[in-house]
Amino acid sequence: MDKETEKLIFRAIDGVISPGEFERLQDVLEVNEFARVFYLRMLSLDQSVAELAESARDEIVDRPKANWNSFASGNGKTNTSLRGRWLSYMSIAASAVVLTTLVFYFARPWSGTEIVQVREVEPAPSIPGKKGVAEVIQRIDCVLENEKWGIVDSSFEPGQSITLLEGVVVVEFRKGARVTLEGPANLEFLSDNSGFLQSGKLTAVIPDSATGFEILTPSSRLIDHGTEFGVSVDANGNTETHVFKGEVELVSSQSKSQAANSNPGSQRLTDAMGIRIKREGEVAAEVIDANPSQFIRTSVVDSRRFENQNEVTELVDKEHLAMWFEAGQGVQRDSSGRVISWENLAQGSSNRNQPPLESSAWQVSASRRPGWSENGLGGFPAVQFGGYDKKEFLATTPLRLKADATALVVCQFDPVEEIGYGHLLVLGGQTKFILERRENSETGSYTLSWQNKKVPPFQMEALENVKSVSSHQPQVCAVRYSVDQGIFELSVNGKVVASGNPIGSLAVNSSQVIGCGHRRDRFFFKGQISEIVMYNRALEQEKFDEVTESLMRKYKIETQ
Amino acid sequence: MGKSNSQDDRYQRFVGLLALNDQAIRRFIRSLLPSTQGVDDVVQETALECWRKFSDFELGDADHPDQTQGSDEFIRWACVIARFKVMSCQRDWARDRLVFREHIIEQFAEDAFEQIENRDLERMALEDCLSQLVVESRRLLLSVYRPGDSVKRIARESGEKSRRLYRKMNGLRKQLLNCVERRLAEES
Repeated sequence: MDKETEKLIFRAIDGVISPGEFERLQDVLEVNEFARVFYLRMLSLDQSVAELAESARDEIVDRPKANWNSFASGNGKTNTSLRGRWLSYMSIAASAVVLTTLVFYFARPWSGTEIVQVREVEPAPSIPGKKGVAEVIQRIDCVLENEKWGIVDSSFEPGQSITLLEGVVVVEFRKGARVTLEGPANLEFLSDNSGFLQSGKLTAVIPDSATGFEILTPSSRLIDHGTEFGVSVDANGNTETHVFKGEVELVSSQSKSQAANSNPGSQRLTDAMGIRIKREGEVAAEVIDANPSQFIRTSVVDSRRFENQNEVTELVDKEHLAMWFEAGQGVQRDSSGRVISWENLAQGSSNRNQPPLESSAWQVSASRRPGWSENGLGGFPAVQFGGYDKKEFLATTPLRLKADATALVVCQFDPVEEIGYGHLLVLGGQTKFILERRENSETGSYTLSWQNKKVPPFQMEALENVKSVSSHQPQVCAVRYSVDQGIFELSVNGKVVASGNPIGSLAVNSSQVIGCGHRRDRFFFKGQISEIVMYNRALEQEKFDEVTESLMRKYKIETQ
Repeated sequence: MGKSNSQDDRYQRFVGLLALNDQAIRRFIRSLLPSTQGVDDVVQETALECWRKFSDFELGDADHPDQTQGSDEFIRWACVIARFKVMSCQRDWARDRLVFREHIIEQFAEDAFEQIENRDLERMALEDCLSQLVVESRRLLLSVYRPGDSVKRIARESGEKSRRLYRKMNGLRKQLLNCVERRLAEES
């Protein structure tokens, strides 16, 4: 028997085995009779030693022990212990009462002599250099269980788990495997190249350095051979594996009855293949088509990105872009066609140190995801807000904004149903920059305002255009803002409709909101957005006009 | 022992058999579960089920009127019930705790029952083997079961690293197991 198995057996007996180790131990016990016998004998020995230790403790404290044999002798003899008196009394009770008594009696029958085992966990081996075997490298609107209790740690040792209540986190294993975990989920870290998914969903992208990366689940074991794949584990431990790219080897943990009805051993899954493995039941495995839309992926780069250069907006000063969302590029949708993420095409938009990570706008909650239309504005795709329960929005990964800004939004408003406000875009930190449409069903007119608010003290400069804004027509709503230059202009389709005085700097490093107010609970926008372009500076008038014309040309918007 | 028709006599006999064999039944159940968690629950369920079906046992036991024979029969009978109870409980627990696969439990059940039959001999052999260990080794081995004592405490006192002591402790466990098995082989 190898050292690893021996170690697993001792960890199991000591009650400190992790779920992943336990699965590995079961794999061995199933096929290795020697290991099975060793486990049982060692367990039996452990119990005997524990009993002896307890006896020794009793001798020291001279604690009276229950004399079970006196109960066995029974008839006519006097039981002197409390338990004995209890039993004698109960022996004349009705059977129903006896049963009730037994529940009480055997629920804690050894409470008087219970062995208090002071088990200790063997310290996990430390890895020199870096801390832990994996660490969180990106968090997207997530809530981690340990943070509810004030424990914040982004790196993990073998045997530790991450419990994600909601949202998404990206974890990178030391060997390079990058795993996107979708809450609610529980993942245990087994080593620098393996993990145990107890429940929930994940996708994994495996670079060459991490080939052989393993994900264990309650009903299967996946071994990567250079690929990208998704795994989901339901509450019953049933597992679905979907291969997006490359090849995965899958080993099923089947019961005897299942193995008899299926092809046991390992299977190779390649591109677009999937398999559903049940933990129990007659039919253990079912081959399915891979369905990437069932998973949230953080590594998605739309394969069609920039495929048709004619569809890409001609922009100036791209190096100053903070946001550039284009509905035809980098949109990840779920199985209902709703938008999970929208990739930020602006170069250098990320404020993180890991360049490969994409900046995007996200909605991890399925019920709040906006829709998507291939033929949106001017024949180009658009993200549709308000099409479901009118509470859809997206939030960006943290963006570093500067003091000034130029923002242009290609949008179309839905007809107003009630009086209210709809925020297209909310930027900034203390000083809020809000592009909104005020909706007034009584007059049937629409006004557009670009506010900046600063609290405290509260100040607000709201620009309102005097002309109503049409629904059913796309338009380019834009603003230029600079504190130093004293610019604060609102324009629609290239024409300045209002101007005012800037209040304060927009500089911030945080998530920005598209489609509702910054608190994310009101001012939901209803309409479509095809493109958002935002610069970290106030563009010169000439360049601003150039970008506006480029957008109007692309979306076939005529000058009014 | 002859059958008694009265309920209280039956109950006395049942409790007597259970009291004689509770440790063995508990050990059997523990060997089918991955940890001590849930052992109490299964013991309780098993005891109740044994009582409900005690009349079946009594009918089957009619050919073995002496108590010793009845006791061994009782263990076998109770362990069969315990095995089913473990299976049933594990199915309920599968969602939130570690459970053995069913066919592993089946394999364990066969082996574990053989061990129960040797438990008294094993206990004597263990006491003998433990007495042969030097004091420090015996203390280290028993430290995990004694409140107030621990591997960490021994590490502090001796200046040795905890990890090294854990390895040493596992080595002692193997040494002890070999000694016990040698003694049992000599006895047989």
